[in-house]
Amino acid sequence: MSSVASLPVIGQPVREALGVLFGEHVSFRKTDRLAYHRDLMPGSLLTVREGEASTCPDAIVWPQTVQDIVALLALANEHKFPIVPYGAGSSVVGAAIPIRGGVICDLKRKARLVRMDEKSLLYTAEAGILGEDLERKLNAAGFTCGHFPSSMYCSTLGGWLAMRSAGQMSTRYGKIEDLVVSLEAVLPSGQVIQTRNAPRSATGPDIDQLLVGSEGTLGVITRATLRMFPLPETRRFASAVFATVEQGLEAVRSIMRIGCRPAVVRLYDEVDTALALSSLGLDVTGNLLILGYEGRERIVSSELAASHEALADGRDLGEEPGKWWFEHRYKISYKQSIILANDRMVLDTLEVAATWTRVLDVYAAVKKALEGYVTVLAHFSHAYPEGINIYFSFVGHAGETRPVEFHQEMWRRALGAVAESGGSISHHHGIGLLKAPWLKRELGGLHEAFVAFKAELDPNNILNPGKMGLP
Amino acid sequence: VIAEEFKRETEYCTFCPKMCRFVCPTAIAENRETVTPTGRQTLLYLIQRGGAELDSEAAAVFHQCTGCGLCTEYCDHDIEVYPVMLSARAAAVKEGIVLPQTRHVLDNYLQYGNPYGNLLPAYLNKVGQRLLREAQIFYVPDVTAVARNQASLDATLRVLEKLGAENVALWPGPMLCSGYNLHALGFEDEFRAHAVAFAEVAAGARTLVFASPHDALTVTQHYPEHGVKLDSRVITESEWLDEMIGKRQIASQTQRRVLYHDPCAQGRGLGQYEAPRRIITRINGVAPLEFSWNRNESKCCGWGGGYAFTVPESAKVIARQRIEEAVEETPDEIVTASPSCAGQLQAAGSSSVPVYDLMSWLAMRLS
Repeated sequence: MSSVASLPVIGQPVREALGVLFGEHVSFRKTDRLAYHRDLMPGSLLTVREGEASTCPDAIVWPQTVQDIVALLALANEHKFPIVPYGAGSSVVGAAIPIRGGVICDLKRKARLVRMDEKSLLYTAEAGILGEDLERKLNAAGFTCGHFPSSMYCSTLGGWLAMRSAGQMSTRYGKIEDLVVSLEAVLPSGQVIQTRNAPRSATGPDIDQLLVGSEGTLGVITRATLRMFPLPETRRFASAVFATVEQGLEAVRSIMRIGCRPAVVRLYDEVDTALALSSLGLDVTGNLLILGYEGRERIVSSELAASHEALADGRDLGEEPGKWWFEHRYKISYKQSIILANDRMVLDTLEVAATWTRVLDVYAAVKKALEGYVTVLAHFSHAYPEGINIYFSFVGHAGETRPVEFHQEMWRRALGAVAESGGSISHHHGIGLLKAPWLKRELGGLHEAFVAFKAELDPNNILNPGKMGLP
Repeated sequence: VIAEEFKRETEYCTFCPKMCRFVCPTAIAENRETVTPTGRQTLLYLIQRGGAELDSEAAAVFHQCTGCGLCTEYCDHDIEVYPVMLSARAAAVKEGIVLPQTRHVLDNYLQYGNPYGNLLPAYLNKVGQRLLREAQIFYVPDVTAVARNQASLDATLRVLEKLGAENVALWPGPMLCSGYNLHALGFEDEFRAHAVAFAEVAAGARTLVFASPHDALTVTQHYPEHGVKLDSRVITESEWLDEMIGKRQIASQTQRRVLYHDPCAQGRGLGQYEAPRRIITRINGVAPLEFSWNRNESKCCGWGGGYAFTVPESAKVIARQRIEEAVEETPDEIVTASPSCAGQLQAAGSSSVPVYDLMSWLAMRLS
């Protein structure tokens, strides 16, 4: 257990101070340190699979109040140790991994649904609330958060905001950056900020949008107010299978162009379709498109009717594939275990955004870059009038190569192809450790400005250092 | 290698994106990733591969599971985490790693045949008249309830009289339970010896009725795993009461707002959901209210898996959370088929809603 036993970043005075500040809500136990040494980045799971743990945190704290966090940051500034904000550790890009040790700040004791404003369709909740808990509480009052990442059971509101996440129905409800209305956060200096609830404001740069997606590097998000929606009166699906990906994409593009707002848009490429339809027991080849609408019956009916015109090039498969998808919408996450339990297999997912002009180029480039290396499956989801997200899944056998290295090469090829073909390297998983080198390439000079801004805001570099290509 | 027989379970949970963590009672109570099913299994995985050590700190993590089984309801692979933790606990004990807070439980079992101490004289005194009869049916009380309050047996005796139960004797001891907590705390050798002794006393009984679903689960599932088989028919208290009440005219129709809590051992463990509900409906005149998490999705009260011995404060947190859920249904009272669960929920102590085990509730309502 060398990593647990490695030299601590924090010394005895800090340990004692943490004990005073957090009492029974601080842990230095090696079992806890081991549990918090990784998140769900598949690369870190490959290391675990080899029986190793990478760098462990020195301690974990569970604050209950904003003042607890203010005191923690003051201590970190004084003694210059890293703080890694932590929700439920479901990041798949390594954003929650304490690569330089220090203290994990686990926010799950701050997990209340604080209030609902039914008139304004807003709710306020603390950052540590788990997604499924939040949704069930809203459902009990007749509302939905409209945000359904496949990590719904194992991710928190704070994590969604910090990582700029997307839910499976984001085409209707928006990504998390579209849903957030105001934030409370603690900046690295210890200053607590609370932005104002307003539908929109012209009061200078949007601080919420600066913190959303900052992955814990610019502040600790402690609570937020977000939009909610009445539970839908109805939910209906349509589906069709297309001979080519291009035809399917054209159908989606035209649906978005006429102003429809489907909750679910999923176009599976041929390989992914084979997987999806075999589970359904349908013997169909091609590229499956699932559309789902929800809301008021009359509006849903109109949108479905309008969408059907766009599906003319495909073969109608009715409602069943959509219903089946909805019933199984979180099931894909369970597949990871089956694959990783084989000690030579690797897998990962990549979500890239591209305009309609670029999307086929990006899709083809990634497929080509990984041809013969790993199996590539893809579906297109989270649609916009201007483009769409491509969600690739990679599965491969490392052969004689060490799986960790095989996996790294897979990423090098995939992200290189995205960058060269004009896509954005992340639609909703974020950057973390995994995509940091490519972020610099995508942002160019803007990344230098980001580094400078971070240095100004966090001169001691205490908040989640080493992530997003930051020092 | 510890828990070697559970390779699939350990690997699948280690590489799972924690799909069950939001329902795991210990994970919720402690807010610690370490005690999620994924966290516990990852620790075990690393120990198996030399990346961590099996020591008292690791053993303590393996004890942080109530055995409620709700994780399995959210597992596409039907992984059962509790048997893996039991195996790891037993492996730790074999290595000489005994958690300090479990030592007195072991001592009490070895000396008195139950986890709490010298209960037998008072117990025999209380139930003496019921011991003397020739009986075909043994009724085994819940030792946790007996330890908490010997008067709890009065309710049982009253109900037996009221229902005119024939050929029923109370369990004579000397051991006063199945050894559930010996098993839960990893004392496998002692559990096997306890099971053999229990089976010797039970020999010849046509039927064994267990007040504790944990005991019923233990003798039907874990005794055979340890080579001990009972010849008797084994049923739970609520099944037995359901059979008896089903045949009788019942006058009491109290129409109260009764909220029913499914004990994990009775529900997910034994697959019994309806008998206690039928009894409540029959006596109360209306069906019981339901928790929002009920039947196969019922949440734990924190008592099971030895957790109330190993981490009592967190066990109380779990009970309080269940009571908070109960309050949302505005019940007059909460009823559960397990006296141990009833005690655990009562001990949460933050609610004005009374909690009864089925027998105590029945004694009250039948009178």
